[in-house]
Amino acid sequence: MKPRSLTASLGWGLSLGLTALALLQWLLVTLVLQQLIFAYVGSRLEHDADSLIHALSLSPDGLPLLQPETQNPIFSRPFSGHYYRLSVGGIVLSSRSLWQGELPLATLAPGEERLLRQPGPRGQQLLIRQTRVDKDGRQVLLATAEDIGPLNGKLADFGWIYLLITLAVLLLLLAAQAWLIRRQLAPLLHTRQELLQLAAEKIQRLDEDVPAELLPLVKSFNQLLGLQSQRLQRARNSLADLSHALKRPLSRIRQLLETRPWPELEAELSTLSSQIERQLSRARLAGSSPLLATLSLQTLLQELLRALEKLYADKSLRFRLEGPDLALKMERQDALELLGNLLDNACKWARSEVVIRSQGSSLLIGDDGPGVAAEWLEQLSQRGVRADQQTPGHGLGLAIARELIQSYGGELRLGTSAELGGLEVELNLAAVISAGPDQSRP
Amino acid sequence: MRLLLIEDDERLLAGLLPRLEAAGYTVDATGSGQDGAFLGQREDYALAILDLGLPDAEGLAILREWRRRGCQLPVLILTGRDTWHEKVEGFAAGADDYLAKPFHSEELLARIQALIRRHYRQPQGPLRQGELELDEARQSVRVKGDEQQLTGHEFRLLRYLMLNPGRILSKAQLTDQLYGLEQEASSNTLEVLVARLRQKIGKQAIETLRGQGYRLVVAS
Repeated sequence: MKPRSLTASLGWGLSLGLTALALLQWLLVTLVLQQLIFAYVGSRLEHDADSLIHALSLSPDGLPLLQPETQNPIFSRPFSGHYYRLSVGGIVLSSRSLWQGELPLATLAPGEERLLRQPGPRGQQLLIRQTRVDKDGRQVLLATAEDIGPLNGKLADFGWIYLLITLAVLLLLLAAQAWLIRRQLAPLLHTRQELLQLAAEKIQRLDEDVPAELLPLVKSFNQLLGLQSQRLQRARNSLADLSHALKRPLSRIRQLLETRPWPELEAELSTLSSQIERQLSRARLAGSSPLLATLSLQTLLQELLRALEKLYADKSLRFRLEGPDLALKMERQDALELLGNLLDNACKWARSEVVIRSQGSSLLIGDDGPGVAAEWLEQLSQRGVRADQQTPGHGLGLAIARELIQSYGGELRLGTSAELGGLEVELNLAAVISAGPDQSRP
Repeated sequence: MRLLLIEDDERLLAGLLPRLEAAGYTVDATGSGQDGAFLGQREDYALAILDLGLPDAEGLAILREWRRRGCQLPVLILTGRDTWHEKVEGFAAGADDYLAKPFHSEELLARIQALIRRHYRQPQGPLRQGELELDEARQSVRVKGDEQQLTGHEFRLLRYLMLNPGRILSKAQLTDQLYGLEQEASSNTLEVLVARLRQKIGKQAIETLRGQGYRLVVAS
C-alpha cells in the first residue's frame, strides 16, 4: 500500500478548497451584477411608466390620449430598444418604436408590477415591466420595455475578464500554498534526517527545536530512545561481563594444559570455546530493525582489510576488491561480524590471494586455498562442522556468518572458486541492500 | 629483548611469564594500566602486550595516547574482546596485532616473534646475519654451519645484536634489553657476556667502540 502523503493530502485538500472558493465568488459576482442590471433597468422602466401615466389623459368618453410633446423621442424611432404599450378599456396604444410588434399586457391587481424577460424584435433582449395603474377611475394596463442586450454583452465581457483574473490569482495562490506546505513540513524532513543519523550513531537524540505539533512526538521518541539504549547498553555490558568471566578461566585452563598436556581435555576445551563463541555471537546479534542507516560495503571491507593485513602479515596475502559498492541496511557491528568472519576464514586458508567481488546483489569471497571437497561442502553449509581439526574454529566462522545473514533474511552458499580454486562463499545480500539512493546520504 | 606486558589477571600472568622468559624475553609485567602507559612511553621496549579491560584504565585509550605522542612501540592486543568491530577498533587505534583469549602460548610467541622481526625490518624465518644463523627454538647459533649452544643471556644479547646489524648499541641500551626493571646489572656483567659470546661466534664479530658501545659486524 502506498503510504499517505501529508504533502499530497494537504495539497489536494487546499487546492480543491481554493478552486471551489474562486469559482463560487466568480459566479456570485456575475450573478449580483446581473441582478444589479435588472434593478437598474427596472427602475428606469418605472420612470418611463410614471412619465407615460403622467402624459396620459382620458377623454370624457374614456379614450386615452398621449400628449406627444411630453414623450421621449426615443419612443418614436423604430426599434430604438425603448418601447411601451398600454391599454385602457380595450383600446391599445403602442410606441412608434415598437412598429408592428407587441408587448404582453397582464391583468394585474392595482399597484402590482412584474418584471419579465423576453426576446424582442431584431434579436433584441427585452426586459419588460408590466404594471396596472388606475387613472381617473379607469384601469390602465401598461408595459414598458428596454433592450438589455448591449448591457448583457458588456456583462459577458466583464465575466470573461473577471474569470481570467480569478484563474490567475488562483494559480498564484496554489503556487504559494505548495511552497508554504513544503516549508511548513520541513521540520518533518529534518526530523527524518535526524532519525537516519541516529541510526548511523552520528547523533544520540533528536533535536527538540521543532514545531509544537511535532514536539510531543519527538519528546516521546527521545524518551523511548533513552530507555532502549539503556537496555541495549545493559545487555551488552552484561554480555561483555559474561564473556570476560568465561574467557578468564578458559585462558587459565589452556595455560595449565600447556604445562601438563591432556589431549582429551584439550579437545573438550576447544569444543567448549567454540560453543561459547557461537552462543555469545548469537546473543550479540542486534538484528534487522526498521531504523537502520545504510552502510557502505566498500568502507566496511576496507576497515576489515586493514585489520586482516596486520593479522595475517606473515602470509603477505594479496587482496583484490572488485565490483561496485553496495549500500547495506545492517547494524554496523553485525555487518562487521558477518564480513569479518568470512574474510578471516578466507585468509586462514588462502595461500596468497583473496578475491572479494560484489556482483549484482551478491558478494563473493574466494581464496586460493585447498578448498573443500564436495561431500564436505554440504555438511559445512548445514551445521558448521569443522573441516579440519588442525585449524581451530574453522567452520565456526562460517556458521556464525550463516546465522547472521539469515537473521537479516539473506543467504549464504558455499562453493568452489572457479578463478582461484579454493573455497568461495557467496552471500546473497538482496534482503539488506538499501533500495532508495536518497537514503544512502543521510 | 624486553617486553612490556600489561595484564591484570594474576593467574594468567603466572602461567605466561615463565613461557616468555623461557623464549628469551625480559618481561616487565604490570596489572595497572596507568603504570603500563607510563612505562611504555619512558622505557625502551621491543614490544608491548596490552590487555583491553584493565581495572584502572581503558587499554585502547592507552594505545591511542601512545600513538598520539608519536610512540612507535609495536603493540599486540591480548584480550577477551573478540568481535570484529572490536578488532577493527583496536587496529584503528594503532595496534599492530590482535590475539583473542583464550589463546595458545605458541601462537602468542609466534606472533611476538613475527611482530619484532617486522619492527626491526628483518625477514621472517631463521634470523641470519653474515655467517651467523640463530635458531630461536633451540636457542643456539650456527657459525659457518657449526652449532654452538647459548646460555639464556647470551641468546638474548646475540638476538638483539642480530636484529640490529651494523648499528651501534650503547651499553645502557643493551643492559636495558637484557635485564628488566627488577634485575640489577653492573656494566661489568655486560662486558663479561660480550667476551663469552665472542668466544663462540668469533672475536671480530662484535666490535667495541670506545665510549659508544658495541656493534655487530656484518660481512658484506
